[in-house]
Amino acid sequence: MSLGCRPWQGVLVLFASALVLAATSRHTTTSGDHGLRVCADPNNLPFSNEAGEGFENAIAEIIADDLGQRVRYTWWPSRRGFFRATLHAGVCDVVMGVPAGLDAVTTTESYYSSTYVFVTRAGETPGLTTLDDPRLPSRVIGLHVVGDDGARVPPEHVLAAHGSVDNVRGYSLFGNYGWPSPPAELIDAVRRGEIDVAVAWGPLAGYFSARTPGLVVTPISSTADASLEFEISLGVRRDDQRRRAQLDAILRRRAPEIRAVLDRFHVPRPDAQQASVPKTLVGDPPGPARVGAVAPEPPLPNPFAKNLEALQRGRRFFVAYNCAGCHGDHGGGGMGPSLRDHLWIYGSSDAQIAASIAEGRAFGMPAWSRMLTTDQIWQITAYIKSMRTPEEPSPPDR
Amino acid sequence: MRAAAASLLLLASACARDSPAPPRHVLDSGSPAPVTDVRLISALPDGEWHLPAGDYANTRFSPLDSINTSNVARLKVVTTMSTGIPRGHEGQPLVVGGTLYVVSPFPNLLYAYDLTQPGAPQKWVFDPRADPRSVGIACCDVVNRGASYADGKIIYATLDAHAIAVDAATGREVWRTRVGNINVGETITMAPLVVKNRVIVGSSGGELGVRGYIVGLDLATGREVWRAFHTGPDTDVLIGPGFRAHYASAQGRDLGVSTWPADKWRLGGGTVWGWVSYDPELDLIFYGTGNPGPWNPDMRKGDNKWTSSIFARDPDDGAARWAHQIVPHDMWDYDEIMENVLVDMPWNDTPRKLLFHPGRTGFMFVLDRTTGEVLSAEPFQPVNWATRYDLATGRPVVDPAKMTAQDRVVRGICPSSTGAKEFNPSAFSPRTGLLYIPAHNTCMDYEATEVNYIAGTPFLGASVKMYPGEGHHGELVAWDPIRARKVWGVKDTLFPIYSGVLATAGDVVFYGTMDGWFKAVDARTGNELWSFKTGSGIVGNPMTYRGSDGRQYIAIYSGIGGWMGAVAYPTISEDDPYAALGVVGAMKDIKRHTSPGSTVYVFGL
Repeated sequence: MSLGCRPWQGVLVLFASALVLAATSRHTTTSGDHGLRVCADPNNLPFSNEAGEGFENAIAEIIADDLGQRVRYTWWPSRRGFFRATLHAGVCDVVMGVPAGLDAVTTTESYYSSTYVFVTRAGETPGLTTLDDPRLPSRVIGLHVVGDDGARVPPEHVLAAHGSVDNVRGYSLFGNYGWPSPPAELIDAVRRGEIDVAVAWGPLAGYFSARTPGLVVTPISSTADASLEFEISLGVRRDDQRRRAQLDAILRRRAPEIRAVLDRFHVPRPDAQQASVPKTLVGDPPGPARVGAVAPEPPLPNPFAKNLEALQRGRRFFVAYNCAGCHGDHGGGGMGPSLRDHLWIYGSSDAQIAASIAEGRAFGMPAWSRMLTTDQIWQITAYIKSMRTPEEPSPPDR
Repeated sequence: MRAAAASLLLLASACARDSPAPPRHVLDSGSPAPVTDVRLISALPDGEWHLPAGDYANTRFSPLDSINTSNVARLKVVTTMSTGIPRGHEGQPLVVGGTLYVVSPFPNLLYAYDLTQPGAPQKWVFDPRADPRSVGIACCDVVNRGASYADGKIIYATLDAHAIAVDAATGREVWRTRVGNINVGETITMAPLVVKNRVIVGSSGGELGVRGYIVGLDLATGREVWRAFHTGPDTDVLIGPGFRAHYASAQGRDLGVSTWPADKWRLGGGTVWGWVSYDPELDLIFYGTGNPGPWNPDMRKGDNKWTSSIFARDPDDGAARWAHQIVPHDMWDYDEIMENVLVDMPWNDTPRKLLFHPGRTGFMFVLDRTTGEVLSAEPFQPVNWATRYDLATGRPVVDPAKMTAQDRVVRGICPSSTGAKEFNPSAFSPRTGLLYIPAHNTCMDYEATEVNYIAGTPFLGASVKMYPGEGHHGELVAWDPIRARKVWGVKDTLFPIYSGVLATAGDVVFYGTMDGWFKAVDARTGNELWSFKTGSGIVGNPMTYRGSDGRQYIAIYSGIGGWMGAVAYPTISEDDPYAALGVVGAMKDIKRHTSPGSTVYVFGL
């Protein structure tokens, strides 16, 4: 089994939490003399909060300083749909903490990268650096699960592949939005002894562990299975290339100060920090099927769209792989939600549906990239998209 | 509420006062049989409600009578509470020491409300932080069927297959035991029953290729003392020297292996998600097991023991005393996890220890609970999958035309997989001698299909489409178990009756409808005495208690959901009648009649 580098979907997951949005007041339209318009989450430490205490707040200040402007925030919870509500609604021009290469926006050069880490109690499980460590299946491991509108975090798949399944506990990443710092619960569970090892996204783990005596943070080394390292950029609207170039220059110019902020917030960064090309968006071209292939990448169109034979095959896979058992014989729903209606929790594009199939989703949707080929996933996607259309194979009788 | 206090209630037929009015809803027979010598074998819930069914015998009968046929029409809402979880509210509250306890659907919050204060304010809420991954493997909504109280603790199970004891006074967790493994599809939805110092609870997940079991935990610590599987070798099923099967087909070694193709018992189902009864005199627990898996019968030739069976076990060590398979080689998804109501009554003029089991099969079974012998099995709703039960063998006489098979659509099977009755429990009144059964008249087309086992996903193997049967869709049936016939019935043309039933010494029977009506009918005639429209469909079970003011109150959940009720959710589409394991076809109108809710209603005079 290869879980390959499948960074895009992984980043989506952390994006839901790590993202900081920026924007100016809702009533202004665009441009300069209104300040640096940033959309940000008002309650998402260590990234941002309304009091300006997060590291993305601090980095936004550095950028604004370079522009000779002030930061003007529009606060918006970092949940599904906020690009639509923020950047694309024109209420801000910059979103911070965006995974490099994210399709919905144009991204700048990355200004840091981080990785998933282990958090353990000092003196226990020494030398733990990889997810295939043979000690892990006998430890109680905690991970974040991304609540109502996210997915499972990338390391879970790798852990499962190495025998850690029964011993894994999920902690809500979003929790109750009224709590001061929902993600801290996972770290505190290590301190309390509820779990032995937390596997968490570096910036979260670094920040909360630094406030908890007796905990050790160790970056997880990439294995053949997966890279858990992700590069983080600023996001601007797709057509805003001028601003992207301007921000790239600022990020280079102010890099030492940005690094200092990240150090102050204990953001774990791999040694090969500013290395090379973003690993995102490389994606497997659709082609000869291979099991365990990388999930389909969003920018790619579905190679099987409108291919009637492929729809029939997609229908057969839908039944053979028990999709029908949860989502209904013809996708009408049951244990899992309906796929026939207009409600799409995780996005309605072919690429988003394919990503949901490949990566799995919160509340029990399995990650099928372990069992299905890329081609199979695209064909199931094509079948799902054909529901309630004249092309739907074997439509339900009434 | 302990066994020692289970003073025997001898209730002669008390119906001297009024001769019953001519029954308005009668379809079949005449007036109730004269009731003589009904003997209840466990204490009734006098004032409080500590166990899921109120008593060990699962009668759901309350001796409270200040609300009665003469005044129930004046019943009104006293207070309401919301759990905030708009999913199926199955089960019922508990009342202990002036506190009302409610377990919500997933995330399985436990609420405590102070009944001594106006409006019953919340005292505390306990959040077990159940694993959200369990949501995606729960076959039929994320329901919970309630808790038991014992030894100062509220004991209940979470969807992620843990049993939890919570201090009833403080709301603090006392112990937590992992009973099942969600990664292979095991969840828990049932209400544990506490018997002496054992917590009895079983696993759900019969649609996911699990191997069903029931466990006995230590009440003080939660430690697992015994575990009995329902497939596999006798050592796993806890069938030993004390086991006596009444029928020849249930005798022999390791039938849980030999009645399956090689190794298929390992994925064979036989879960426990309904109700457990206890007879303190015989010191035996009684419960039923779920369907065999997968739903495609051609993939598991043989009787598939011990799925769809009733078990009698010793609660201390789990040893099986007898078992009887209600549906050998089930091919319709007829789980038999329904309640077993324990009553001593004369049978052919001889006092006998009886067990009433209104089954999904549509047959009402009367068993001798000391031996497992079937004394009678008569249909209480339209049935065509079998013509009758052969009492000499205890087996059904199946209509070959209704046998399901791979790649063949068998049409018009009645009842459907959801049964002529679901888990929703009946009530028995010793004053009338009648069992009040919440019944369904739903039929189906069933095509068995090939299926692959993929851990943690449905292992189903059938394409099913259900639809309402002829004439009516639901019915509250008042059944005379001794004469084996219906005395009266109240029909529901819209939906199945998917709530439980409560009978009281005030001769009132309470139940709810899927479109949200909560009703009181006369226990002797079925005449409707009172009704109230709640905010959502009712799939929970009514209960009653005496408040600190000495008055009687009735409580019910209003929150549509469960297998059939979940079709009311926006996440299920009506244009795929095969969706939600086939129930959409039968329930496609429900969104027009109700919507999700999460309210506890308390009524009083």
